[in-house]
Amino acid sequence: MSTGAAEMLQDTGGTITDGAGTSPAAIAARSPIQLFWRRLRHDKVALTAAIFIVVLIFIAIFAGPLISLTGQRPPNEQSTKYLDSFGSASGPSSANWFGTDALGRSVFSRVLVGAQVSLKVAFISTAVILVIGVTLGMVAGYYRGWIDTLLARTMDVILAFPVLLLALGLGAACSFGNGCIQINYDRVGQVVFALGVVGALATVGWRGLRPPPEGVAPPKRKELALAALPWLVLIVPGILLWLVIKKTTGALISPGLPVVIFIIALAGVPYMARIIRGQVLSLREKEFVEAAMSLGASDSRIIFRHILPNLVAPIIVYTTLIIPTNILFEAALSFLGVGVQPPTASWGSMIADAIEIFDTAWWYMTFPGIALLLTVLAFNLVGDGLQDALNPRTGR
Amino acid sequence: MSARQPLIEVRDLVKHFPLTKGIILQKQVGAVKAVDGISLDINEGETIGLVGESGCGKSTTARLITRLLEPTSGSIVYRGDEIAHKTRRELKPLRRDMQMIFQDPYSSLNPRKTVGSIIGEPFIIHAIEEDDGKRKRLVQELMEQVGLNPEHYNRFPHEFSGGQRQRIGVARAIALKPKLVVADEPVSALDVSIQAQIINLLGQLQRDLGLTIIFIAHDLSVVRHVCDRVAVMYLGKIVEVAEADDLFDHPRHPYTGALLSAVPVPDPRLAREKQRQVLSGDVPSPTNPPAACRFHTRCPKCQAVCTQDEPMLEPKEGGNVAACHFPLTDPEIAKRVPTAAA
Repeated sequence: MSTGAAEMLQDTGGTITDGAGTSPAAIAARSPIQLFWRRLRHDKVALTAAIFIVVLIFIAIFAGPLISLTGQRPPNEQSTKYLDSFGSASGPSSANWFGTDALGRSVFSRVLVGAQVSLKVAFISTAVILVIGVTLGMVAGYYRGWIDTLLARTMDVILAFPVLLLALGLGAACSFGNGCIQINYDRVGQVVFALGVVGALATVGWRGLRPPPEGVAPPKRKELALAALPWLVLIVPGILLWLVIKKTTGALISPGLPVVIFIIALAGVPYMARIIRGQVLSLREKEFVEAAMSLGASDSRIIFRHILPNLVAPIIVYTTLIIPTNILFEAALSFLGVGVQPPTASWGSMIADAIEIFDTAWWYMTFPGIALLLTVLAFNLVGDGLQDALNPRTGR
Repeated sequence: MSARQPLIEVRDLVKHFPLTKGIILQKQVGAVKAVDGISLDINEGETIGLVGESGCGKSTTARLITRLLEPTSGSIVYRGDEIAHKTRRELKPLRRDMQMIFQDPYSSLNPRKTVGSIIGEPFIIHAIEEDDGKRKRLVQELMEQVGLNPEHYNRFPHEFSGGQRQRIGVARAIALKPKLVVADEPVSALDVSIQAQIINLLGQLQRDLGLTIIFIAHDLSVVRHVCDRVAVMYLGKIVEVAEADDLFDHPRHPYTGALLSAVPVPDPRLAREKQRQVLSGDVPSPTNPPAACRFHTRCPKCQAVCTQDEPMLEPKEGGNVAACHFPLTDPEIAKRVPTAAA
């Protein structure tokens, strides 16, 4: 083989064109995104599920108008009028499509409003997990060393907690009164504002005043402004907290949705961070990262221009797969009584209430149960569809 | 050779990768001595080959010279400027002068970026051409120069063959008109006919741009064709340096002799005469290399002195510089490499 190469060298002389120059331009190039759409369009199951989710989001947003449009009663309206002659929950009828609960509230309206709670919790907690998990994972995976050790061990410690027990404890502690971790918002605002100002000044000073090494142009104004941007961004929430929102003290984790979101995020971040860290560890060993380094690219350029685009697929897939998990988690917390507080309707708390009267009022458990089942199923199917469309090699 | 000014002078270059134990409190329990005291001059405009079996430190040497790695000790002088311990910031202007071509054309191009943005990236990083339209024209000129169709500017790497991808890598490397290109096994992942095209491309670019090339390879016939000078490495050390023709005609170090005797001989009559010398055993671990001459555990000519005294690189008969107490004599060479004698 080796001699072959050398002999061929003699023949080809100085020509330097190969197939590249002659390949027909008629073959249309498809970008990865086009390929992704093509594959997704052919996945009927995932498409159906996606349409279901869009409808569900629509229902959640317009739950109030929809309820009055259909002539059903508001979700929290109690009435003995709609209880049966024994004073217990009555079944589905034209007045109450899905029947009533033990207090005479419309189950239909409560299921619609429950969609609001479920989706809100699912999307917010997933967004929190996404942002924090990806940031921590990228920092740990890219810089390695002690910072990786610190982050990875902290994540291991969080993962070592029995999640449900932690959730019950936190929920129980923070669901009553003012919530837990009381903080002074004014002071926090002042600190964040000061941090932003000092950071921005320090960045500009450090980069602008230090003499550049020979052969490097001094940084331009645009570059300096860009470098200071992350710090300047801090100033905005700082001023908001300090001067605009006049609320002086409050709980970091206040009862209701914030507790649920905090718990779900706490339990979910380590998984996301782990997955991203693993991906970054393998990506940064790729030669294209080395090539960028040998071109003199900065860390931020390598992280945002080279590594992050390669993480998009795993991030999308994993995100769509944790949404249903988070919906179920919220339902479980509400079921156990540490989630959304009454009288707000949540599918989980409705199912919990329904247990006591299940033998006589089947509808009270069935309708929120079906809603939960369909929602979780739809998100999972979309997640699977995205996974297949983004990475056709996995195959199921 | 001596008339030319060395572009890079490498002296006693050492790179040890520490082996650590423990999760939080790490303590060093040893080191992989990947490169262990290399001295080499690289002259402007020449192509110097770096040869040796896997794990001998070729790639580490390349990454030290381009300062993708920081050496443990030793000096690298580039045009009179000591660069061995410069910081990343201080190195940035140097990056324009030194570029790399990588072995694997599949992992050396970011799969999520178009060819245009891959080749154009050096212009952005070094703030040379920030206008998109002008940069596109520069990139398309480069694509033409390396034999790619400039119309494929917006394509992604996966739409190209291995040889075309390697051309993209070459275009990225020459974008900033570097003085030195380090090619780390640029053709070993390609099939033979494509290898020839890439090598010819490199040769042409070298003539056009006056490049100095460090060519790392394990394919000896390619090295012979491409390189002006060749350095042979074994276990983190250079064992022999010579002009390419001298090295292939009369290798003085027994290790070079063994390497050359592994190259197949096209003439069957000569092949029958050849006594192929197969080295016994594996390469010793670079964690704990043999004392004195590192090759003594596998050397057919090993004597007592080889296990006690480390041979220095010295000029031997025929102009080769080799580190050996008992360099090969002409009859020995004839047996191992019959083509050389004929």
